[in-house]
Amino acid sequence: MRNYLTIRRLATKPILAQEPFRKWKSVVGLEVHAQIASTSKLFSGSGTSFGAPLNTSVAPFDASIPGTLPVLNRKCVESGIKTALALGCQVNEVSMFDRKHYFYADLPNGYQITQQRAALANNGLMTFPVITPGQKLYYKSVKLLQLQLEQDSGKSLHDDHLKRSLVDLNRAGLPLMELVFAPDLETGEEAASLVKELMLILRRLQTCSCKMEEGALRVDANISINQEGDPLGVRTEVKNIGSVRSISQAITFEINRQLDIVSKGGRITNETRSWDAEKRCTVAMRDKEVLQDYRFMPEPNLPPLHLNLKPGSRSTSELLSVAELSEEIPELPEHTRQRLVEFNKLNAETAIILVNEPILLEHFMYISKSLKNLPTKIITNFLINDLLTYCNKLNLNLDDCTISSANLSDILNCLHLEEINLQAARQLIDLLHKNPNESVANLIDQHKLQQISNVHEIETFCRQAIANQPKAVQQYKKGKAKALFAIVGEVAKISEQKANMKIVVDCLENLLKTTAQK
Amino acid sequence: MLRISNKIRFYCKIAAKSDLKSKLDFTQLRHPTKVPQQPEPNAFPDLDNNTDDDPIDSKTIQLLERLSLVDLDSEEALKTLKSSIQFANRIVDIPTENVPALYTVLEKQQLQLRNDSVTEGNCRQEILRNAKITDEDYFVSPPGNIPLEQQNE
Repeated sequence: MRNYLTIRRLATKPILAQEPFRKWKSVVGLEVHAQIASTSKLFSGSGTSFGAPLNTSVAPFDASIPGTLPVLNRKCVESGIKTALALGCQVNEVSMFDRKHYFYADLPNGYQITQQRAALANNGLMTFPVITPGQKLYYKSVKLLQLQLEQDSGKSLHDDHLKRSLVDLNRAGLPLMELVFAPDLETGEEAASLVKELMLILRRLQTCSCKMEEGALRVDANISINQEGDPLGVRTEVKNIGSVRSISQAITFEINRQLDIVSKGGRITNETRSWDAEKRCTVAMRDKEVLQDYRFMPEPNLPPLHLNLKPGSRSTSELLSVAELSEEIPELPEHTRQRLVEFNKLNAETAIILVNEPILLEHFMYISKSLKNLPTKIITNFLINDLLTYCNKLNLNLDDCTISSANLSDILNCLHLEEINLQAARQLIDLLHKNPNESVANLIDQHKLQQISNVHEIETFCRQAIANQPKAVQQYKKGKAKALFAIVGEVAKISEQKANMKIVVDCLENLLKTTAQK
Repeated sequence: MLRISNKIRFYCKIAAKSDLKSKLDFTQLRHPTKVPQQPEPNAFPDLDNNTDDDPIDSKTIQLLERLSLVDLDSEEALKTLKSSIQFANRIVDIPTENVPALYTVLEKQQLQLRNDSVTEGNCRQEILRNAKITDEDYFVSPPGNIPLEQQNE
């Protein structure tokens, strides 16, 4: 009672100071559904291949035929544990399965088997680099609240014309890991960076294909804004985000939409919105009228899942050992980056680009081993500035670029020995992509790509260039050093890009000096 | 409760009479039952004498209809619902403080694990045979959820 009175008295006091302007903050939390890479489903023995003919990857259990029972897939538990360990989670000795009820045609049981009371793992932490264009690279850490195993639902096609739904149960019962992250993020870029890192980790572990286009990795984002010092604002949930780029775009759009509403004095309502990738905006989804009551209950057909947490233990046919699984975890992306920075003396940004593109990393490791004398900077520059740019120009996926590491190594070696110049090296990338079976040496011969380093030949080119560019020569002589580039460019043109530019520059400087002295 | 114990007694009588070598049939118990033959005395209020009629508001009824997909429109259905709630409500009187919840009697058992191999599926004909309407190997269902018609709205 006394408490109540004091609060009343405080509240009636006049506000003495004007409230200072407080900045708006955005808060983003992600939920990721990753399909576990397995050959059979979570609880039944039907297949998992993407694009199988309609309703063929369906066991009686998946179609909810009475009398069928779930039997847990060992591989899925192993993959879940490995992922949890890689993300620094605490794996639970006992986890349990629950039924989450909702009535929908593509969920024939009327419930989804998931883990609610006791998940497979909790309390992880993910640290990842964030690169925002025009900003300094920084690392961000986000808590992973929970990692749980659950089933996927079937797929519905809605036929608005005939007012019916067509249901394919191939996806029903596919194994999923749901990863629930704490709302520790602030921007769309951070969210996209988190998902990128997660995809790298899952691919290294081979626990998920991460093909967002096939729905193997799905991201839902919870977004709210609040003023500094205030509790979190009302959040909206954005679903249907189909690519890494969309993650950043959708979240940035939603933050701005909310800021716009608030600045106009409006209120944000708790709703589910969908990302429209074509119109680049979020749109409200038709919401369920009442808050869904999922009526969680323990799954009576599955006893609790026990795991052996003892260090040094081994798995048995019935009891999986977390210690044994932890030995199977490969080097994680962050580790690779650190190794590249410390051992190969790369800078952090370059290391991030290489680790983001596993093919580039493979090339780099091969070339840096076979050409030990070559400075790593030359290799990474060539891979990132030339190979990656070439692929991007052709809109080619690096996985589809068939140039072997050995061929790239040969090109770099020729480049290093000054047998060819950079122009020729770039041309060779194109030639090798089109003729993957040719050797680098053959292609250089066939296309006459050898660099011209003969001093006399170069001198002839230079004299011609000087004659062709009298203006640039004059400017250079007046002290404008940059004018030399125009003359060098002329030499490149005359020599069909084959002249050794180092010698050309020396030669030009000499020639221009001597003519100046005359 | 009286009805249940009556039934158990009935099964026991059959068990005593029947041939022990016959196949497993749950209507014929082969062993003396472990279920107590007399109900334990308890502090539960007696259901049959409980006449106080807690009215259920229409909003709750509508929610229950939506969740259960059961029409609670008739007098009979409403009576069943009320008695179900009364029956279940008795559990509230049991002191459960500091007692960890028992979810399954198999809690100490290891969960059976299966190797990751394809052993089922490719039985579209059998799977679709259970459906009333199909179209080009799809199941056909009404579009989304159609809420039950509400009488008070």
